[in-house]
Amino acid sequence: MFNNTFKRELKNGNPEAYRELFRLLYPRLKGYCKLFVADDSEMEDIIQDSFIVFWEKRSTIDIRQKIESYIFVIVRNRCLSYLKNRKLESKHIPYEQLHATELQHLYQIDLLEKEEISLEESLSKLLHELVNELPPRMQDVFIKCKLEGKKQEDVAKELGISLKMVEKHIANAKRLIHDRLTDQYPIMTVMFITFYFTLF
Amino acid sequence: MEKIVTKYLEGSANESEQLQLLNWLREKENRKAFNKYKLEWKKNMVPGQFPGNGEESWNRLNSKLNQESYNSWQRTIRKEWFYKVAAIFFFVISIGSFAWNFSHQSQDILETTTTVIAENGQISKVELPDGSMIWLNSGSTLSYNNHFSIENRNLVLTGEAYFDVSKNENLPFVVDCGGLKVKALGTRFNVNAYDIGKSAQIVLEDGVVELIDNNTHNSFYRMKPGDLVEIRLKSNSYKAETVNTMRYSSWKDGIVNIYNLSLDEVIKQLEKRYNQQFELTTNVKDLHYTFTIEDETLEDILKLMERITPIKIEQKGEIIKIEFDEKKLKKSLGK
Repeated sequence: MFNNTFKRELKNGNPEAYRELFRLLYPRLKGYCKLFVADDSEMEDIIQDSFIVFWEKRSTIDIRQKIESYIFVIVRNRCLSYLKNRKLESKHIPYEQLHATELQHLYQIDLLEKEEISLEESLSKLLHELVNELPPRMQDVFIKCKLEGKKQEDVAKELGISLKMVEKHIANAKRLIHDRLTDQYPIMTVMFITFYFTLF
Repeated sequence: MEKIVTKYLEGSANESEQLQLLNWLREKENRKAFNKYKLEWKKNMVPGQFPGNGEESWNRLNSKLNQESYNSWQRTIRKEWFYKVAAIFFFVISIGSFAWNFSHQSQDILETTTTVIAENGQISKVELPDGSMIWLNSGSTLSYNNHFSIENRNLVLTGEAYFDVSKNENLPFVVDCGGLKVKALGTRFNVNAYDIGKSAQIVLEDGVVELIDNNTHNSFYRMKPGDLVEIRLKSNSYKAETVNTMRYSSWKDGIVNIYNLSLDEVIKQLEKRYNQQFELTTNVKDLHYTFTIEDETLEDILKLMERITPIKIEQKGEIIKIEFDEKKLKKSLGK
C-alpha cells in the first residue's frame, strides 16, 4: 500500500508520513487488538506505544519490506505479552477466545502476508475437537472439572449426580480422548499429552 | 466481497464478516483482488479524514511524541502532505559535532544544528525560538544552532526568506547568506540569496538593517525602509534603490508578481512556484509579461500566456516546452 518515497519519509522521521500511516492502519490495528484485549484504554496504549517504538527504530526500516509488517509485529508482541500476564496457568484457550484467535489470521494475512499458527493454537484446536466428540454428559462433566476447574463435589451437586459418577465420567472421557488421539493423530499424541498433562 | 473489505479496512466489519473475509483470503487466488481493493480504498479516501475514529488517538500520540524526550519530532503547521498547494513543511535534522579534548575527558560541547527546508514548489513558515517568524521560499534552506536565542541569533540562509524579527537589543539577528551578513534588530525584511556566494538582494520593509561584508567584517551599508540593495559579491559592488517593498515579499502569501519580465525570467518564477521544468526555444525568450499569480493553477497561467502572446505550449513528458506559434504569429502580424 505504501510506495518507496513514502517509506523513505518514514525512515527520515517525517511526522506527516507517520500521521498518514496511522490514519490508514489504525482501524485494523484496533480490530486486531480487540481480539486479545478487552479494555479500550489498554488497546489505545498498545497501539500508541507500538507507533512510538516504530518511530524510535525508524533507522532500521528496510525500504524493500512492507511497512505494515513492522508495526503489526510490534503490536502483536504487545498483545501477546498482555495475554501472558493475564492468562491463567491453564494453557487451554477457552471456547470464546478460540473464535477470536482464528480471526487473528485475517490480520496476519493482510498485514504480514502469511499465516502464523502457533503450536499452542493447533493443540488447542485439537483439544476442542476431541472434547466436542464426547457424549453430552461426559463432555459436560469433563469441561466443568478439567477445563473450567470446578471441584468434583460441586459439579456432582450441580448436576444432581453422585461423586462416584463424576469420577467415572472423567475417567471415561480421558480414555476416549486418548483412544481418539492415538487413532487419528498418533504423531501428535505425545506432544498433546505433554502439553495438557494437567488434564490427564 | 468488496464491501466487506471496505468495512474491514475501516474497522467496522463484525466477527462473522471478518470470518467470511478470512475464508475468502485463504484461497490464494483472491489475494490479488484483495490488494486491488485496498489500493482503491486508499485512493478514494477523503484526504485528512480518519476512518474508525482514529483522529483522537492520533492527536494523543502526536502530543506524546511532542514531549521533551522525542526531541526530533516537531509538529507540522499545516496538515496537507500530498498536496503541493502552498504546503508548509517542517523538517528537522540534528547534526552533532564534538569538541575533542586530548585527555579524553570529552567535554562534549555538543552543538546541534536545526535546518529548515522548503522543498521545490512549497513555502515553509517557521517560528524561531525567539518568536521571530520566517517564511522560506521554494528550494531554500535555513539553519541555526541550539544556542539560538540564548547566546546568539545567527542563521545561515540559501535561497529566499522573508523575516519578521522580534525585537531583542541584546542579541542582534544576523543572517549569513554566503559572503554577506544581514544584521537586524527588530524589523521586517526579505533576503533573496538563491545565487549563494554570487549575489544577493535585500529589501527592507520596516526597521533598520546593516549589511556586513563577510570578509572584512565591516558594515558597508545601513538600510532604511523601502530600500532595495542588490549585491554582486564577486565584483564587491552593490546598488541601492527605493522600491515598493510589497512586490518583493508577496511570495510569502503565495502571490507571485511578474512585472515586465522576459519569458525566461517568468519561467524561473514558475519553476519555483509549481515545481515544473520548462524548455524554451531561443526566439521566445524575449517576450515580456506582466501579471500576478495568486492561487491559479499552472494550467490557468499557461492558458493566459497563450492568449496574450503568439506562443504554443506543449507538455512533453516531464517537461513543458514553449515555442512560437507560426499561425498565431502570422495572424498577429496581419498577414
